[in-house]
Amino acid sequence: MTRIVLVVLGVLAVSVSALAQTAESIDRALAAAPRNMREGATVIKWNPDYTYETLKKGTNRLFCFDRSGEPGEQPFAAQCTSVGNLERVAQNRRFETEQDTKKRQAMLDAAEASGTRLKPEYGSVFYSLSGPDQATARLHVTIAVPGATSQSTGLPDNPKQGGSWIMNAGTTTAHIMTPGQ
Amino acid sequence: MKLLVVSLLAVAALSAAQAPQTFTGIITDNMCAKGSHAQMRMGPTDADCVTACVRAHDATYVLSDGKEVYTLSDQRTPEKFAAQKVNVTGTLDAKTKTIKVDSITAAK
Repeated sequence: MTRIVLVVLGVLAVSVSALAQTAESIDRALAAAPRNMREGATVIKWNPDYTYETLKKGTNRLFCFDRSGEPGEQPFAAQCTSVGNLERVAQNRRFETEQDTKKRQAMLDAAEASGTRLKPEYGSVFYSLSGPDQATARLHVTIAVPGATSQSTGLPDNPKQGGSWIMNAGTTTAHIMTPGQ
Repeated sequence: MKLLVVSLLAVAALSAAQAPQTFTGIITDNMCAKGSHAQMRMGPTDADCVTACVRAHDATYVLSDGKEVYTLSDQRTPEKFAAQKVNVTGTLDAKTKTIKVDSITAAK
C-alpha cells in the first residue's frame, strides 16, 4: 500500500512539474507577442526533428515559441510570427543546426540558388525578443518581404538614409528593418 | 570540524565559480549572432555591419564562440573590436550568460 502511494505521489510530482514547465514556456513565448495579440496567439514547442507540438491553441494567425538557451541564442529568447511561416521557421532551424557561420551561410546560399529555400509570407512580421533575461530583453521587429528590391518597393537596400530599409534585398530573406528596432 | 571543512569547501567552490576566466570568440551583435554580416549590406565590412546594428537598431555587443552567445557588461570597448576574434577576460554569470568584463584583447 505504501509503495502504491509513493508511486502515485511520484507520478503526481512529475506531472505537476511538467505542467509548470509548460506554463512557463508558454509565458516566455508569448512575451515576444504584441500585447493585443497574446491571448489569441498559438504557442508551439519545436521537437528535435523539426516537427512541433501545440502547447496553446490560438485564434489569430500568430504563433510563438520559446527558444531560450538554444545554441546561438541568449538565455531569454522567444519569437512570434505568422502561422504562414511555420515551414520557413522549421527550415531556418534545420540550417541553424550547423554551428559554423560560414558553412551555414554557404548552405543557405545554395538553397537560395536552387530555389529550395522556403519563402516567408510576404508582409508577415517577425517579433524576436532576446536578452540575458526577460527583464532586459530587447525586441527586434522585422517585416518579411521575400524577393523585394529597391526597385519593387522604393525602399533603399541599405540603412544610409536613416529610415526603414530592406535587408537581404532580392532574396527570400529580404525583410524591412526599422531604425531603433 | 566536519562543518568547518564543508564550509571551507563551499567557499572555495563559490570563489572558483566567480573567478575571472578568459573567453575566446567573435565580437558581434545580439540580433545577428547567428547570421552572416556579409549578406546584410549594412556597411562595407562585417565590422561596419555589427556597429551599425548596435547604433541604428538598438542591438548590443555580444561575444559569440559559435555555440554560446555571451552578453558583455562593457558596451564601449567592444566597438573597436567589432567582427574581430578576441579574448574577453571577466567573470561569468552562468544564469544570464553575461560576462562582467575586465579586459578585451585581440586574439591571435
